Amino acid sequence: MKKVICLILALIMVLSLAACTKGQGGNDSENNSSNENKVPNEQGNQSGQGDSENVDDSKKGGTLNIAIESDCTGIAAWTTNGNTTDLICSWPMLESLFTLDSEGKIVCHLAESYEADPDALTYTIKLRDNIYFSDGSKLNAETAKWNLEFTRERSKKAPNLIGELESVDVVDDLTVRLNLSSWNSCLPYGLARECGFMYSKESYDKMGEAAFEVNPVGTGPFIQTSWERDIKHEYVRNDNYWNGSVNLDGVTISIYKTALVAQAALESGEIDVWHNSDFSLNEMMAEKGFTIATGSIYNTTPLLCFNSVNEDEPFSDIRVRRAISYAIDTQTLMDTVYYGLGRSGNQFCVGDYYHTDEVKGYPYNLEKAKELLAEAGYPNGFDTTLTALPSQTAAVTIIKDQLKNVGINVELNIMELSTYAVELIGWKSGMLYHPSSCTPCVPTQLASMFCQGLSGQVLGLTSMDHPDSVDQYLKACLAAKNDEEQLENLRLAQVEMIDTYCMYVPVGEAPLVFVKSPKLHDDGINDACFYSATLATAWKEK
Amino acid sequence: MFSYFIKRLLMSLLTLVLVSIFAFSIMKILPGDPVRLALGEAVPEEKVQELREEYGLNDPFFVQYFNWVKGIVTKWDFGRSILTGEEITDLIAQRLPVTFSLGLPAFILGIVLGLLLGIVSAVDRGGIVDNIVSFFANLSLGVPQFWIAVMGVYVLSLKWKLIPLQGYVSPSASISGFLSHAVWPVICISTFIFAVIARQTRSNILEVIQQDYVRTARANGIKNSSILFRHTLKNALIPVVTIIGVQMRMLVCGSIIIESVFNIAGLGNLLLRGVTSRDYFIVQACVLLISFVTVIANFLVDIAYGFFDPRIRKSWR
Repeated sequence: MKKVICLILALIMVLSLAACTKGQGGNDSENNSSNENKVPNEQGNQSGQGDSENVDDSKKGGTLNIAIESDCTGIAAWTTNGNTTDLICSWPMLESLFTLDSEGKIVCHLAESYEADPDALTYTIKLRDNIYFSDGSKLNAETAKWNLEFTRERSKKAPNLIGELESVDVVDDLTVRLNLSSWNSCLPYGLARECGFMYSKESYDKMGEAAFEVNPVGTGPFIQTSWERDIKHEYVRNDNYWNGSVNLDGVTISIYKTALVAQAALESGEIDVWHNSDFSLNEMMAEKGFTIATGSIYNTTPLLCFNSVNEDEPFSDIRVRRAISYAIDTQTLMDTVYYGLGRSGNQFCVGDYYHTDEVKGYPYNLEKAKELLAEAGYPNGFDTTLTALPSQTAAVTIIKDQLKNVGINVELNIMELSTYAVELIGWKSGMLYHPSSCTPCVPTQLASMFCQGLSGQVLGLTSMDHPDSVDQYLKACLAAKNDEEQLENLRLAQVEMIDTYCMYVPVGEAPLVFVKSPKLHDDGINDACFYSATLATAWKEK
Repeated sequence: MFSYFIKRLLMSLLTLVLVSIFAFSIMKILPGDPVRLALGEAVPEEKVQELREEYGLNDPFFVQYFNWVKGIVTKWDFGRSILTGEEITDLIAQRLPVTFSLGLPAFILGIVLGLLLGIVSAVDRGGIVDNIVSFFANLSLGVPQFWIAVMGVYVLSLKWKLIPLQGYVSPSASISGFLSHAVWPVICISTFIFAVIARQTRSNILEVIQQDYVRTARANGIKNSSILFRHTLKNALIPVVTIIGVQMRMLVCGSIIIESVFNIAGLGNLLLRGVTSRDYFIVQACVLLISFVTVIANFLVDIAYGFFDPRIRKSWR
């Protein structure tokens, strides 16, 4: 009797499980019939989108529901950390002076044009004439000056992104001049994200800092109406949006901490976009008809770094570093870890704009690796350690296996973030695998890691060599007076870092992934990168 | 009685002091700078130092601890979140009612079901009810809460569309909204409480039933129901009271996993946010609060023993 009851109960459980798996593609036909009403893609930058008369009424209405894993830190200039969720929560209501095109190059947004004068150490930015905040006040030079100076003083990222900004002058009603302490050719990149957000001074003065902090007023197509921390942000349409009419009635950004629940919510239609960091689910979602948006500019560049300053370490010998570079099959590694969504690479790069063909790199070649190890005096390999975060366990396990092929025995040293954060600055021996997140301005990113004389939380500050030539080219890159000079110096720096000194193994690039409903169109979410989206033009099929 | 009461009270206070030191030390034990960890590596050092100064993190350990405890005791002030600057006392005040509104029904449901089914199971030892109850009790203990929660989301929400996928509606806003949103989280939280109590009740009753005085009562012709409720249950429930006391922490910390799966802004979710974002001030406050409730619950259990067990009551005199 007991056995029969157990059997029946077990059967009920199996049937429940089967109910979950059966017919999951049931709404495929719905999903596939999505593109009939699709309008042509929005223009390359976000300016000058269609005027209200041309907007099809069938696209009007509905609420865009976006799911993120954790709430943002803040959306005001002084509270934002500039991380992914901070920027996502800014999409509906905040806009910056510049934005990025699909290649990662700067294009104007709230700014109409800008002029760089490296000799005078100034950027002169002309604003568009028709920009109004959602409270009805106009964006003029005085407001832009207030914003830029406020951000320089208060933003956590300002020292990194616009640290050279010394003062701002009002030239005329729509023009400001940014005076720098030293030239930084990448400054506009800093103004293409949180440091370039324009907030309404009128509302700030009226509301006071505490109220404005959680409910800032920007120039975007939506206005935030509520923010329940750790639950959701709600926004309604800004009927007076400066850049044409807005299709959607509103936007909701909700926090879904559990990937499986977010997946179910997407399948049920409860959400339209999901910022998903579980790469293993993407393929299945694509098969079900959802769009996997990775963006053209990837967000993470994992680096395998060596302790090259310790004379007792094999890695102080460049032949060993090169041997390891040859022994790692980066393509397999990226394909496995990121389920086909990563790109392998031979240099530190995000997007195409800064990529250079001059870097030769170290294509996978086991024979060459063994040869170099033998030359360096390690014909049978050696024992070493590899430090990494728990989230990188899959990647370092693959590296461990691959290095075994050339006789190098790697002991994995997986550390929690608190310990890793200390180790990152100066690990005593062996290698460290670092998933470097990066800004699309590669020179800024590289200079903040590999120049000489840095301090604080810097990768390999006391473990890696910082050669003079690399320092010289990276600084020249930041101080470049034009794009050509900047690219040329970056090219030289990349060649020095990889081919000449083999400072690290640039494993590749990994994207941020947004899974989108096929019924959502013209949203611009992660088209280029996650800094901004074109939510004004977004529309949902009914 | 009074000396016993005072002794237990002092022990509880000592436990609380030790727990507060432990909770406060979390930040110090872990390597790395909590401000740096909370803000991330991209934020420049000068901003990190500014915040360290602002939060008094450059003061000596005991000065920091003293200021923290003083803030809690004198002003009920747990400090501010490193990451967002929010007052942690306000956060707790917002989140505690949410957790409580799920934890209390789950607690009551778990206890009532656990006791009832534990008793029925013991009475029907080896029967169908006993087998079913034992099966579900073992299942509830063995299967992770996360799995039960996610299965519910898939079957009840996604497939059968009986309940919402996730979220929370306050009972003050809408009773029906609250019920539809809370039903599955409450069941998920209560399964563990039910399982522990049902198993404990069953095994205690079976043990007590074997006692000589029960056999004597039966030999004297006393009715089975009277034996069960007047002689067996009272003795069998003493260890169950201990278990119930321990489970009382569920009232305040709910279930971190359940709140996370169903996107509920409760205290468990706040603790999880503190841990994942390395906002140690939040972690300290939540750990202290949960420990406080657990210590108080244990204190009450100690006192309750006397009412259930005359031998303990006698020792008070």
